[in-house]
Amino acid sequence: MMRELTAEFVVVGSGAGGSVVAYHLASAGARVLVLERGPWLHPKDLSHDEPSMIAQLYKDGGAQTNNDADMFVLQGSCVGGSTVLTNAVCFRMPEDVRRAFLQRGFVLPQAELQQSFARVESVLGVGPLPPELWNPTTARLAVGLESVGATPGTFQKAMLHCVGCGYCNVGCRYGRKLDASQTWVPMAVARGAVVMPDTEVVRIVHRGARVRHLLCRDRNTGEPLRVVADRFVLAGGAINTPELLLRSGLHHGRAGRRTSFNAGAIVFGDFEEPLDGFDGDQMCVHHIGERFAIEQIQNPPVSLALTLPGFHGEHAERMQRYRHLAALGVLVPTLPTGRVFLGLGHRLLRRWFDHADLRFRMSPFELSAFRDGCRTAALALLAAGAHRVHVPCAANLRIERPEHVDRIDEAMREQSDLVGFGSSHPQGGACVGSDAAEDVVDPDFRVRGLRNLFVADASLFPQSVRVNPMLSIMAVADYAVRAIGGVRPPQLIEEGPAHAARLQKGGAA
Amino acid sequence: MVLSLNARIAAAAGVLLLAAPIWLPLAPFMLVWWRRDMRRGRAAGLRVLAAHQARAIAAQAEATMPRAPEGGWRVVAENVDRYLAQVHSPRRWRTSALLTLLEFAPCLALTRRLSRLDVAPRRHFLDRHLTTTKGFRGIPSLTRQLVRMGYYADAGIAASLGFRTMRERRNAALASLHAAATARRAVG
Ligand SMILES: Cc1cc2nc3c(=O)[nH]c(=O)nc-3n(C[C@H](O)[C@H](O)[C@H](O)COP(=O)(O)OP(=O)(O)OC[C@H]3O[C@@H](n4cnc5c(N)ncnc54)[C@H](O)[C@@H]3O)c2cc1C
Ligand code: SF4
Repeated sequence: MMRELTAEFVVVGSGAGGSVVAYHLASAGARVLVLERGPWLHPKDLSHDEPSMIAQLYKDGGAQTNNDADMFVLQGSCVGGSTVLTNAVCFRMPEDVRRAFLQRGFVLPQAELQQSFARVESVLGVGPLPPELWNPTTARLAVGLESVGATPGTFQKAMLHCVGCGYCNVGCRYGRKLDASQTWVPMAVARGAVVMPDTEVVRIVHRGARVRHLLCRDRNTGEPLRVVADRFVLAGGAINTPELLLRSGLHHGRAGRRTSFNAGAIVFGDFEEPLDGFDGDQMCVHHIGERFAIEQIQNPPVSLALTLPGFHGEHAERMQRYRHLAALGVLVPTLPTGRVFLGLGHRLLRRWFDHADLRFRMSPFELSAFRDGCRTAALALLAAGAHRVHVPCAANLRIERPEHVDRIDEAMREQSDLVGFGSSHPQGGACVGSDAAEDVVDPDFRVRGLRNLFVADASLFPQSVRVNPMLSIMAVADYAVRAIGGVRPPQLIEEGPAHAARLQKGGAA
Repeated sequence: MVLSLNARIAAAAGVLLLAAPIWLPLAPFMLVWWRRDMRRGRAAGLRVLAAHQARAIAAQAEATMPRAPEGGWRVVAENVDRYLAQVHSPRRWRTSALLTLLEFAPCLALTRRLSRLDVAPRRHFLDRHLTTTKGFRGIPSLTRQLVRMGYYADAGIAASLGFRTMRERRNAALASLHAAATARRAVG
């Protein structure tokens, strides 16, 4: 007989959205069960072995792509979700984005949302990145950005006693990054929530307007499991939440639509002298513009090799200049034109194609914004002193002087011309809105047609939030707990950084 | 028009189907060969790669990278194997199929398989056919990424680029923070 578990609330996914919801519900005294597909790795289990960490922490080992295989989409698959892989960059949702959500019927009252932001920031200990953690390319890049008319700012980060190792994207082995696995998840567990790692939810089973149970499987043994609860909260993240709805036969034709991204690629500058950009935090300065954002990103060897443009010998030659390279990521907030769906392969040959497909192509408008971003980044790198710039396209462009940047237009005419193009910020697919015919989730975070099924993750966003989305997802989840569980969170939660500090003292968890 | 990855896989399957009269009689032998090659992989300490797939990775690395890791080119394949063995993904079989394709792709041009070609013609083959992001020939870009991952994951290669691990960092402030963190971990 199939094993069965019961709880009052079941939360699917332990990332930015799920962990916040689980904490608040557990704090209110509810019996909460968190089901997480990925493993539970503590700082002591993490290392700087990039392939091994990428394999264990990233969905599909970091190899998730769109259907055309010309865009990779990175997501976390572990307790803490994608937050474990972040650079701890924290931005509040821009006001114009909140208003755009409002226009679609996604009501996030300004005062309450700001209160939610303040609350999650108090848990994550958000503050400016201290200059002693800047990597050695930072000051130059700030000057370069300024000299091309950009407005460089330094990031707000969620860290405590960071040692600037530069390996944030493979999890923090020192326990210094205050991601969900170091804050909300252990705080929820301390209040009685139960987290089940390696447990994948494969189907939502409902009768009429009520979800009865979830069908799950143990990812290591394949053993099936049934989970019964009063209320269910989907927080598997964009792509995954719509996929689960589609697999369950819910909202066909609607779930998966309006998927958007902050998408982009990296522009590299090669400097005469060694910079040793690896020696400090990966992301220190940025420029957030209307059509594109530019964010510094300095990677350790494997990740840098995976994003550096060039083929074979040319790529190897560029890698030899590792110490001399500085990098700026260009990000474009895309329109919600992406779509997650179950393809023919899934229907006919599930054993081989047991995953959702993702369709996304940049429009000419987005491509043009991306090219402008690459041009600005290239000019900033040249102004910072780079003697050669490598732009993320298949053509081997020589960009050594400002007038050369016009070559970018010719070389990046379509998405498949790009190299290393992708996104770590997928959003949408189970959007909130007032249009019952189009929007999967109603303004009370409830999946339309099902009284006890809610969503609390990035898939709620009807358009890209434009900036790095983690904080916005946490704040929206914090706001959503009222509708989901009738919970009113306290003004501020002081225990966040204190909890992380305790974990650090105790040998990094 | 961009052909989706699934459409490309379907097209490849279609071609295979059309060629069935050629390979179907050979299928039992191929199955025996495949099993034996997998066993050879296990005997060589590999966890998921078949021996020919590991050879294809090492061969591509040898043809495209400047110097061998201290343990030889097979280290690149071992690193890729370690990575693949830890990945949970319904898409993993595609990676495996691509590696097999990489090894035998030169046979379509009536030459020897990749790992049996001399380095110069091998490099020529890779430069000629695998330097695009588009169309069918864009698909093996994943194998390029695997080779890069396996190669630069080698500590000696990373050091040869001038990369320094936390223990070797010059940034004294950060290094001392690291030392303190490590000491605390040890105590914990
Ligand atoms: C490399 C990287 C760097 C980033 N850096 C930043 C940054 O610095 N700042 C920032 O603001 N944002 C950053 N982001 C984005 C941010 O982390 C995500 O937008 C955010 O975490 C998404 O939150 P979520 O709750 O929607 O999903 P996630 O945090 O991804 O959590 C979803 C969880 O649900 C689990 N899950 C999915 N489906 C199922 C299922 N069927 N059954 C069980 N479990 C399931 C997944 O395994 C995952 O753990 C980064 C992302 C990546 C990948
Ligand atoms: S840079 Fe800081 S927060 Fe990031 S992994 Fe290293 S120690 Fe942790």
